[in-house]
Amino acid sequence: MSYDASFETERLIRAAGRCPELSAGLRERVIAASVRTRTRVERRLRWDHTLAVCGLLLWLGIFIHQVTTFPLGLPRQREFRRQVVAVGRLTEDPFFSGSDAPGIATAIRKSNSAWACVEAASDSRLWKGRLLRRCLSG
Amino acid sequence: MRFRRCAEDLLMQGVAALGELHDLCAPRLVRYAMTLSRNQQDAEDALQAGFVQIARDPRKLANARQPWPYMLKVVRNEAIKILRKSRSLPLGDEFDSVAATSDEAPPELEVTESVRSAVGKLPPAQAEVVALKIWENMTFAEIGTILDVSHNTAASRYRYALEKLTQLLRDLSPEADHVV
Repeated sequence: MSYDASFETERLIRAAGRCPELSAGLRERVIAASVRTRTRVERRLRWDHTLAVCGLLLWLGIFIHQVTTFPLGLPRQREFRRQVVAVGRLTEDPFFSGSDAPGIATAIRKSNSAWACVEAASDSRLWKGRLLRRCLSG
Repeated sequence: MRFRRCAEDLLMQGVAALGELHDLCAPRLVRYAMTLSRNQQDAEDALQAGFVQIARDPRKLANARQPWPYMLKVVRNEAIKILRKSRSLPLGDEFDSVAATSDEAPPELEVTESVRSAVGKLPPAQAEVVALKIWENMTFAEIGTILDVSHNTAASRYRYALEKLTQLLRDLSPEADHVV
């Protein structure tokens, strides 16, 4: 194909490149559809954010609950276990076997020989009682 | 530059900037989409779907390195989706029908319709390269980015298209008689 021919063809095509007349109401239709979509997306985003915040709060609540009720630190657990084992060794109290957590705490508290350890363990709540029982049985 | 500013406005102002964006580029986007869809209704539907895509996430357009080619690509994808759905019209129908009604049209309009008819007879892959190259003044590299092909492929499609068009338009241009 000669250069002149292709140049002339390009010229003709360029000249014919006027944009089409758009249909009446197209502008409104396009903008309305876009706005509708955008509104829907924003609503979904808001809902997603709300869910995320709720999830975060829930997680935070569980975390705080765990922190305040569970001995998370390993050294603290080890120390507690050591004390409990010491109490278990020192006390021959029959109340230990099969009693519930408050019973165990009471039994430990009654034991004069392990009083120091009892002091450490006496603020125990129910979970500590369970741990105590587990430690003593193990 | 103006298109980029519009894209950034869309990100900043939200849907309030859609009108300006539409006024700026809708006719050109429809013209381009028509090279694929072969009829104006489908091209306008592609335009609408493209705008919806942009409204869904305006950041993509605003952050695009080349917003205008990105916009063309979005509309192209939508036009292809519509084509797939409607199992596309036979090639050139719409352009032929337009050309057939131009008996009483002025000479320039007749030439215009003949050219459009000729472009409509090209395979869509070649027609869109012609539209992007000649009507949108894009480089082959930019065209390649939009069409997901190499710039060499874009260039060869353009060359084939131009050869076919030269043959089809031979009657219209005396210079084009020198086809080798």
